[in-house]
Amino acid sequence: MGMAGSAGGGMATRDSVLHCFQQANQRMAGLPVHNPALQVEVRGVQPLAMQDGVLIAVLITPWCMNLILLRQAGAEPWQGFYTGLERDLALPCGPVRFVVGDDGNGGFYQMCSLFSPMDDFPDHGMAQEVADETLKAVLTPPAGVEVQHDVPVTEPAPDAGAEPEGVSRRGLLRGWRREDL
Amino acid sequence: MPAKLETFYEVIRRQGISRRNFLKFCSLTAASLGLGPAFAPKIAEAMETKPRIPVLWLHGLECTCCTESFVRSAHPLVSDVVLSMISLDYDDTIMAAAGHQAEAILTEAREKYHGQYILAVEGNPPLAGDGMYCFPGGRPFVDTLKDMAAGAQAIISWGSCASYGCVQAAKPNPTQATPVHKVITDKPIINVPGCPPIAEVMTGVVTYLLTFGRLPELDSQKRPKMFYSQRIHDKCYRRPHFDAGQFVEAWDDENAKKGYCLYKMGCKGPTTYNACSSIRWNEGVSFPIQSGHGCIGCSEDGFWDKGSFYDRVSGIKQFGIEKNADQVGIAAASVVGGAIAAHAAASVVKRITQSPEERGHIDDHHG
Repeated sequence: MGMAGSAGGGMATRDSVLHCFQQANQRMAGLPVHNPALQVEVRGVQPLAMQDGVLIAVLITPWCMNLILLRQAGAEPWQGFYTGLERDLALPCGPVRFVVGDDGNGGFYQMCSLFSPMDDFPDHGMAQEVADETLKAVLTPPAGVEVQHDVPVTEPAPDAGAEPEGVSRRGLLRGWRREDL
Repeated sequence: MPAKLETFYEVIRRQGISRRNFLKFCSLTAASLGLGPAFAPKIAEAMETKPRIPVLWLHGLECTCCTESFVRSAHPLVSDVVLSMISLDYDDTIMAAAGHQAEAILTEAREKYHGQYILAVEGNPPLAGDGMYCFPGGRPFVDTLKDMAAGAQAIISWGSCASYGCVQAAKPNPTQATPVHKVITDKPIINVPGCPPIAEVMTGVVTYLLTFGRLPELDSQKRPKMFYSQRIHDKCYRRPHFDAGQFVEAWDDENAKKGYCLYKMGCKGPTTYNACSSIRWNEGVSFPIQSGHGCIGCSEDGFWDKGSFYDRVSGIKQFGIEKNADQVGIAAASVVGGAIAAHAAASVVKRITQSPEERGHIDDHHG
């Protein structure tokens, strides 16, 4: 995939994510949410057609399976990221919300939970099969829908839906009382 | 003889709400239901043309936290409009009438709107001792509930009390507190669990019912899928810490200060279906996990009997509740061979995709 050891600028890479979750695997071993039949793996890394410089992949661990987004080596780093930040992305299957995580060395990735915990998976082969099918489904538009290209990654508005732009909740209420009643 | 009803719009205007604010309300409602801006005119049209559906709100064995949550809906405009639509009829917490007059209104509303009204039930009927443990207005609540349900077109069960029984049904359940849907079995029922439910979820459900005149899509536990199809765990902002094996190990430790995952402190997020981690509380300000305490799973059936709030969620069976929300587990898939993976993939993609049509199931000819 032409990925350097470090993307620089605080971006996680396939290898840094793998390393981070292999370490986590040691901490998670023995917890009730840990399915020892599974291993840590990053699968199906590929560029995202509608997003320049973004890679999509599936992360499999014994306790979760996530879609993950990584920045391609050489691409401009994501700005203003912190762990827990939520971002919406229009994928071919529809809009999907991701959460920003980090690899323990300040390298950011984005994740969307697919399965957690992983008790239903009898073996790693089944997890791989589901991972591949899911990635395929995520990158396929629903029947009758055209693929949207160049859709920007957007942050959900804080308190989405709570108030119109530029007007505070209190201001709106006050305005309403003063002007209309 | 059923009464002729005004439209919602006529009621709203009569309450002194301007057209401008009515349209604002429609936009806010479209957003709170997870629908796109394109749905606001559809809501407006429905409210302008459809007759108002009366709502009668009963209180059984409960603490009124559902009402308290409801009247604190995030946007004052939303609660004003919704309350102006429902408070016209009966709700003993917010209505002006009291005593015999109030009970007379209930009987009168039942006759006048027979077969038309929505019955909202907060709390549940205790059945032990012929219903003597809940006795509002001088008669067992279970009798009032049955009488009122008989004339309702649908029932909303507010909160964990009405949906599951909640604390008064905790073992050994001395009053035999019983969920509404186990007493009323011949009416469409929508369960809105939570202790209390989120205000936006409550106004969203009421507005959906009133505007579109039908129930939103429900899961196998009769919960509206648009608000209860994801677990707290699925959308938690601390989820990256869970995934990375970063946990709070003791209250106020260094990891707690870093905002790590509360799973080891007993957080029930992995087994709880609710919208707290996405809609949040108090105008979207926060939710329990964001305030540093684990989820106690208050919107799940029998949460009082599932051990301490601080016991770690453990064991495969506890996670088995996934199937209750109509998710298809790998092991439970009703397909064979290689099709299992494709089936699981299709289910999960449907779940993570925030498609308004999928979540709300609104068709054009209904809008």
